[in-house]
Amino acid sequence: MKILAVDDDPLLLELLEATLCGAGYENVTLANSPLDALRILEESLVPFKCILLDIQMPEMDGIELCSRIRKLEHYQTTPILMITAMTERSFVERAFAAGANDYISKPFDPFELATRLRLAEESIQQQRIVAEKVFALQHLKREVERKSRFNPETAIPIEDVPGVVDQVELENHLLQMSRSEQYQTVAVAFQIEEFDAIYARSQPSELFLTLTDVAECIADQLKRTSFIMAYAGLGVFVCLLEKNAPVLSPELLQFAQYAVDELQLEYEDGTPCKVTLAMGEVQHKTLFFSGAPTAIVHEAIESARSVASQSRFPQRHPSRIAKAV
Amino acid sequence: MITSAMNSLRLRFIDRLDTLLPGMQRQLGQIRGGEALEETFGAVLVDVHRIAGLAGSFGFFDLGNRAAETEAALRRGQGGGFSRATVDEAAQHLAGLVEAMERTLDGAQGTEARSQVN
Repeated sequence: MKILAVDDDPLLLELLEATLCGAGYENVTLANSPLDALRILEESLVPFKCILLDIQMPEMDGIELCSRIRKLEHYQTTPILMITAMTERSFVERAFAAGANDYISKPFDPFELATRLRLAEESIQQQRIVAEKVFALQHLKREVERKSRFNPETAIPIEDVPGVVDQVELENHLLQMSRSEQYQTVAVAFQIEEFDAIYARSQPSELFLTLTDVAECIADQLKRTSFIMAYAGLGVFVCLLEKNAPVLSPELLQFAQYAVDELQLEYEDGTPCKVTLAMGEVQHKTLFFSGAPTAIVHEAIESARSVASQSRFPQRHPSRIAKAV
Repeated sequence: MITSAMNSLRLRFIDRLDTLLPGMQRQLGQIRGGEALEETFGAVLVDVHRIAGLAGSFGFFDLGNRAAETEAALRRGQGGGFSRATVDEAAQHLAGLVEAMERTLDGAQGTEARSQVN
């Protein structure tokens, strides 16, 4: 293991070298000042695997040096062990905060030194294992994401949100109603604005989670009445509920949007994922209507899409909520 | 078993004690006299810190412990703004350390101690 030891006392450095050598660590480089250490680290073609730093040094103490080493490209995770006397234990906490991993007590106990270094070696080995696993997982994730990518039009099933079914089930439900029940049922849809941009930027798994979250926010607003809802693809959620349900107020969209905003949705890279909802006109069957009972579902979807597209050009169409609500 | 490298380092440590001793005796006098406390504390701390870090590794445990205590007392003196009480305490510890250094050197300079070292 390639080790760098830093101390301003040459005698202590030599003692450390001799002790390390006795413990089987022979590849040891000595630096007698923090600046010397930084120069050695920057010039070394093969990175050091472990760094030992004295705490008390003139000009720059070991804690400051530790912090500067952590900023070097190849030394962000390299084990750094602080060399400390019993009287310096108060500094150890600061050293840990600066990025140190462990400490070695002065006077050196060869057994303790060997144990600490063995732990550092194990830590390096574990880091390597973790790095390999992370790499393998990232590769696997990319593969899964690639294979699970769905078209934006796909009405993917949303699971585990009460009241949410798939679109076929929602339409079957409507078809199985009596004529009078159909007259008492309305359809209303919500469209995620600029869904295409969100779709393009999201991994399939995160888009699925975003759609589930939005479904939950809408369902939460409707739960005071009897309803069913389905995801219809392209960022549209369509809902069936009773004609005179109190939740069908002008504030429905506002409340759903508040709930979505509270989630503070983010993309995988941590940047905010702004989800804005548009709500279409409430659609219902009239006494003179002779078409398919499911027509109100499609009309609701079209209406929501229309309102959302209008909101992309606010100069021409100032309202994001359909007037019929 | 003391290796030849360790033996050589031990001898150098003893030489260092010998070199440091007159200066430390002078610094002790300065501290007792309240002279240039800030500078004197700073200078003596460097040497005391080094003794504290090394002495135990060469088997001089009493010297190492005294140096560690003296270092802590000197830091209290610095941290306490060189109040009379903390300066007196530091001087008392430093006097004990100087005596321990003298004892260590006396022991090491004896023929018997020399043969043990070698």
